[in-house]
Amino acid sequence: MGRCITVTSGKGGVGKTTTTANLGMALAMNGKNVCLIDADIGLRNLDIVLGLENRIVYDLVDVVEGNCRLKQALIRDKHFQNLSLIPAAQTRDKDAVSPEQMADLCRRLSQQFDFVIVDSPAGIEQGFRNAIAGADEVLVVTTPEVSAVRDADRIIGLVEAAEIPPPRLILNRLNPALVQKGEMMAMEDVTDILAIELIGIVPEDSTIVMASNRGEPAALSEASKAGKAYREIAKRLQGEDVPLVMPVASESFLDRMFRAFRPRPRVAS
Amino acid sequence: MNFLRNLFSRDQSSAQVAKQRLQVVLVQDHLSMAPGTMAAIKAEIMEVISRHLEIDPEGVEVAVERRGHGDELVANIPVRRNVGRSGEAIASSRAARPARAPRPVTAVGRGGHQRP
Ligand SMILES: Nc1ncnc2c1ncn2[C@@H]1O[C@H](COP(=O)(O)OP(=O)(O)OP(=O)(O)O)[C@@H](O)[C@H]1O
Ligand SMILES: [Mg+2]
Repeated sequence: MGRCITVTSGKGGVGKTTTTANLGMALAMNGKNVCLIDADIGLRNLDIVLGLENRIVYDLVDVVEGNCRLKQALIRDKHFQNLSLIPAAQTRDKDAVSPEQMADLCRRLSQQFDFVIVDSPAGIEQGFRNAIAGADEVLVVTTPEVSAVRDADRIIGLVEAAEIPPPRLILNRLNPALVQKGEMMAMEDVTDILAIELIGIVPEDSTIVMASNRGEPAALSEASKAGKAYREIAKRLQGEDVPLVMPVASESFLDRMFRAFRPRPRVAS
Repeated sequence: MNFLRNLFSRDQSSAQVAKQRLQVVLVQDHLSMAPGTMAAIKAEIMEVISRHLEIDPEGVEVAVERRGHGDELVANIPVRRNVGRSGEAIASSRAARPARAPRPVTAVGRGGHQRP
């Protein structure tokens, strides 16, 4: 029996789809059988981030409505046979699928896959409730910005209320240089506030944009820092003990000297 | 320039400001508390304390903070030293951190930490 993991966030645009694509790819690279579900009905994206947009015949709504067999809606990845995608319907709305139908689909899929990863839409409405309906675990993605963190807190509360185990946190788009200047909340600031386990930090990285341009997730690239972060998160999901290190900015000698003279930041009471 | 500003400024960094603002707003979210409630609590606490002690009204801080697994109401109330009740100014300069300078009376009440 596989695990069904939902990637969600509250606030939009913080990196759920990027995270789903990269974790799926990284787990597949590790030999796991993985199925990704794009639950963002009406705003289909996961297919294009994975470079699979030209292979779509059936979608999530076709599966739950019985217009096709489950097997027919599974799109194979170009790189890994053991990675599949069920795309979202583009011309329907969120209530074309019910939470019960989602839960049932996740159950069926986790009989044949090691990991089922659901890409949740932004928000706290029906689309979100569908996305967590079949979840054994939840990953909450946030950036270190006040609005994203506040919305993450709200989502954590809703996940806990749904009697799913406490979600784990992915801190995305962290800019180490800004953190070092004190102009962006650091890992500890965010985990202090949200009080859930941090499973990974993904730096702000232009290779993410390049990767989605090409439809080849950054996890495939040895050189990508964000890709490496996602490969490490995949290992942690598989239960490996990979130490979590705060990314550091490359500093010039002058930067280092200036930093030595700066007053130590006061600790908030 | 950035370096000079950091060296000479007593301002908090924007990251610290962000963290503190979030701590306050999340407590309001969790308790479904109207923004004005805190001000009312503060005014009433001050009224009670000043019946018994001379306090420095400017320095009073009342906030709910997240500590560990609970939300706590923390009141930081500077009292004037009772030197013959002469209205003598409180001990230290209040330029840097007004609320923390005089010895505060800290009242802590614990509440269950619940997200909505
Ligand atoms: N670590 C990163 N570094 C740089 N850019 C990033 C990073 N993570 C995400 N992005 C960019 O941010 C944008 C939003 O990412 P993504 O689509 O994954 O967010 P989302 O949470 O799925 O959005 P939505 O709520 O609309 O579904 C994309 O353009 C993506 O390339
Ligand atoms: Mg998305």
